Amino acid sequence: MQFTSLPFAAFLCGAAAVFFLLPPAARRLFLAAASLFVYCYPSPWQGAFLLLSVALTYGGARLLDRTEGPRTRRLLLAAGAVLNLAFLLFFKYYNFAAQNLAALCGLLGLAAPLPALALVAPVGISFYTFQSLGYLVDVYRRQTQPERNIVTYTLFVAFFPQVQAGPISRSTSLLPQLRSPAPAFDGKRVERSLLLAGWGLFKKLVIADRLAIFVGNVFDGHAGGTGAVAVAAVVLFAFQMYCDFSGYTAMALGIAGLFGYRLDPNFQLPYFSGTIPEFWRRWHMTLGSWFRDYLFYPILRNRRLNRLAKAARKTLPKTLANNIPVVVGLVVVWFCTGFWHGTGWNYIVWGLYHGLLIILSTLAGPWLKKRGQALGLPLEGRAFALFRVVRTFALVCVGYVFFRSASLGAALGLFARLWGGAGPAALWDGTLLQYGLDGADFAVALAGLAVLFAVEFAQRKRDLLAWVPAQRRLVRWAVYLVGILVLLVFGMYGEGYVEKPFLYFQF
Amino acid sequence: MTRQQVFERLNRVFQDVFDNEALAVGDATTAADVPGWDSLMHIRLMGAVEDEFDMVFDMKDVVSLQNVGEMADIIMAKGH
Repeated sequence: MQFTSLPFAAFLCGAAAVFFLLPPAARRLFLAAASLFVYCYPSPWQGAFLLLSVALTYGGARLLDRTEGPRTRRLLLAAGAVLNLAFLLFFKYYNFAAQNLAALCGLLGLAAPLPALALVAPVGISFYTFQSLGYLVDVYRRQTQPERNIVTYTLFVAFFPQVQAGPISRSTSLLPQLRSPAPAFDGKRVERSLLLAGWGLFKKLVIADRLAIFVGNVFDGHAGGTGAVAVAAVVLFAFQMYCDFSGYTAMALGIAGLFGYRLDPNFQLPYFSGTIPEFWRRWHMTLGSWFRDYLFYPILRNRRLNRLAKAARKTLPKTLANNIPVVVGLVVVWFCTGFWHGTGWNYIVWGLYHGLLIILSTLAGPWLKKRGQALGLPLEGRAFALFRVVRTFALVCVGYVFFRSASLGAALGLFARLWGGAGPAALWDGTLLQYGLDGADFAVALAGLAVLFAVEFAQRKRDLLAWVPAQRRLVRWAVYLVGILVLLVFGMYGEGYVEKPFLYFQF
Repeated sequence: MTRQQVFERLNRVFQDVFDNEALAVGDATTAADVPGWDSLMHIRLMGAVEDEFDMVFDMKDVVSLQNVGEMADIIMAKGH
């Protein structure tokens, strides 16, 4: 159920009211039941898979904890990981594998070995599988105690603000909160949480859903734009993507906060990053840290790889040899990151593109910095800081061409359209208005982006979520009323309002 | 080895890994306080600390260390 839908709003009001009216001892059970209800209601069979995953990791973790032998523990962890990943791989990647196999067999003149199936992946399976897997590894590393209470564990995986598209919670941050006595009602916290959720709603309904129309028509439309129009679509997609996903996350954090639980943040002003590695520490942070802790670190510490690196020092330059585990780790992590996002070669290329940039930045960064210093370039000044931010944003935008396109072929087609065609004049001579978004809507979207920029820029110095509720009642309510009015007037509802799904729900 | 001696040796490792002779770490130093301490440098640092003290960190420690003080605690607990 979408956060932006009316039935969800009704569910949320009811759930919050009942939660705080119930005696504290019954609240956790109620929240788990409400989470399962809202997840299962649209599609019970998807709920069955969620419960199967919950049961598997719950039992697996307890068994792991009771087992002592290192070999058996490793086997148990591997079995748990394989079972969890098997569901994910089957639902999301079976058809992708079947298509590619069929294409390969076609080349060799053979019949396709696997039939295509009409599969619909359960909502949030990529997110809850990773969360469950992380929990299992934490128990294996004895970093977390396995949860004994099945209700608490079910709530950890199925908690409705996060089950559909994250943030991917860690056993070390969310489980301790769920184990503690249920939070009491706190008016100020509710105010802060609603403000955060409202801000997320603004980013989604006022900015992202508006930009989506223009971006969609340029990327997918038959009359697809060229030159400056295509560049505008790529840049605006960067903002659509950010407003969509960070809007969702703000709502998830706000809704969880309403009940007194704190979810991990996913964004820290990513488009202000100076390098690509920094961008990835500030964009979809819970996925990045998941890959770092559960895949990248183990590869970097792999004994065989490190022995190989040591041996390679005899033949390769030392810096290159030392970085062998790093390069292997980055290639694996970024292939998986691309693959995790979707079943298309365009996602894999997008992931590997970022991996390549990070490898280049790791290997050549220190050298480039020394060269720059030797040449006397002003590397410390504000102008250079701005240059780094713009350069990083441009590199991210190039990646988005792969990410947003329907296929690898479409992405290459869009790259071809970026050169030539409409000149810069297309940005102001009305050409942009031919792609489904009229002048008024463009103006609202750009004004929304200006507000976004101002608020997030201010957020760097001061926590506005704490600042607004601390103001005098008149100021506070003025902010809230203006916010509600803006959402009502400028939100993209359309006729017979059908809410648009969040982009990350497809992953 | 006293805690102070551990910190003296840790300081040398940090200065070497981060190529910064002005670096001085204390109990409360975190990754946010040291420029360049990202996930990659973290693993290099752990490797260098392991070499210096001839010990191996558990994966649990690698991912959950909050500050240099905790690092020193583990080094001392491992018998140094």
